[in-house]
Amino acid sequence: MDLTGEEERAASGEMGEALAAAYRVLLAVGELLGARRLIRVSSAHLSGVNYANIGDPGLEFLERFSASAKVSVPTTVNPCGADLYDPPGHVPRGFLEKQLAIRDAYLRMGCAESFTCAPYELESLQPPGSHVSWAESSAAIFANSELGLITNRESGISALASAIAGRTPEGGMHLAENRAPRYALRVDGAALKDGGLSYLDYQLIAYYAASRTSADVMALVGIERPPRSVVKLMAAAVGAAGPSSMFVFSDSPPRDSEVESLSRDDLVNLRREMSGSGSMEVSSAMAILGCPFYGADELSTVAAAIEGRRSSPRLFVQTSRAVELSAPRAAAAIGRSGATLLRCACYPLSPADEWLNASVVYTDSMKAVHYMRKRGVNAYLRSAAEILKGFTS
Amino acid sequence: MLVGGNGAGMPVILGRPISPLGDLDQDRGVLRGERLELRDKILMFPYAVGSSVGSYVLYSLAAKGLSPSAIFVEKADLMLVSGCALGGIPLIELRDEYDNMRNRLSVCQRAFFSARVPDLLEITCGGTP
Repeated sequence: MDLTGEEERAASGEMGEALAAAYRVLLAVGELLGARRLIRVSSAHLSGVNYANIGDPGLEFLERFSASAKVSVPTTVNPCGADLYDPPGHVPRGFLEKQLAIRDAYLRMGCAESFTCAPYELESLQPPGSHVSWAESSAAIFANSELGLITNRESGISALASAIAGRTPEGGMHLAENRAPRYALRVDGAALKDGGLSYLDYQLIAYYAASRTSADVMALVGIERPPRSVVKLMAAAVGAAGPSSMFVFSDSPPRDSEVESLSRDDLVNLRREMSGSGSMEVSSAMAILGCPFYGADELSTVAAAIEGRRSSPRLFVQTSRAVELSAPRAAAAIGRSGATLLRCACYPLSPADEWLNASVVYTDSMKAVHYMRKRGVNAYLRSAAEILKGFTS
Repeated sequence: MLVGGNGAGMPVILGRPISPLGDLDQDRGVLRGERLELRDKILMFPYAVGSSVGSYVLYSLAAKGLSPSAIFVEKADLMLVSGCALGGIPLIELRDEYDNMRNRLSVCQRAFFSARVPDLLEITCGGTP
């Protein structure tokens, strides 16, 4: 790769070992991508925060590295495994202590106290067309597909290297020629009957498409672009199911794309597999809403639905601290109902089901179902309306 | 060549992929299955598998001075690249040259290497078994 004079000096270690390490990562990733130079990024978003994911190896790395590393662009970070603001009693003390140490390491490096998988729900978003370096697949895919930002699906470490160096290799999704769809899923008109598609169906369609292709960009043909809150859930489903970095909606299959179809039967079967059948078994279950984390609008919608009802504490609503502070009335209404508001915790990826001895988990997020099933949890996809009805009285 | 560097080590050639998280003990610096110390070895395997947390394991080994002198693979991935780059462990991706190199190193007791990104690799065999 061609480096500028300043980049050469940084890479050689003249400006400190942490910066040199960041450049080593960017140069190696650049080689892997075939990039010819580095470009500046205007923000970074890091994964690798949940202690349940990164464990002691991750904690040890962060403690060492954060002693000298500093981020040089606005940097947000992913959720923790437990709520650190008001930890519920079911979180083991040992887990909490390690999670706090991880949080402190990220804050030491200058990351924003964000702890969210939906950094785009915070203020100060870059304008469309900005190059950014975001890990957390759901956020990266949403950035490319809905926000008009440009990012690769970074790893936690490559995004951290970008955060420190303020740069990313100019390869993959950063090049316009790689942003055309090479795969298209045509949704049969028949699948749309029965009063149209629910927001769960939209996720199932995105999930199915992503599981069928390794194309960087895929097109969904024959369905309309749903509201932003649904695109957000679709982006998360795509990230869970496959390696794609972006999806678009189009009326007909784009040129040069491989085309497959999704029939009504395919959709019905997928729905049955993910949602199960019959009514919910609430007594030994728990429920998770807000995967990806809710923004203020979604939090207010749930608050309005729950207002005046009594909720089980095993109904968990996930959002970030910043969104809670921006929608205090909605947050308070959810708390008053008895439901548990989580402001920095990702329960689908933490052992919350074990802490709570839950035999079944209900959620309206296909991503959450995917990862919980991978961990052996009985997880089912149900609508927020059904979950709210089942877990409140 | 993905991460450059100079060094030497005894070639250890594995016929299976490695999962850094699980297969490498970051506290003791050993390859668990073979109970083999990683220090002063050139570790050669086709590709890596397993959790992306493997990057942190590679970094920690390097930070404690317990890492192999270099890693030679047929095909690299983001996890391997991130971990080796962060820790400064030379990482050589050989692609079509993998089998050749394996044959060369298999008769080598100790090999000296000099690797520079993007594509300069010199290998000298220092003594045969």
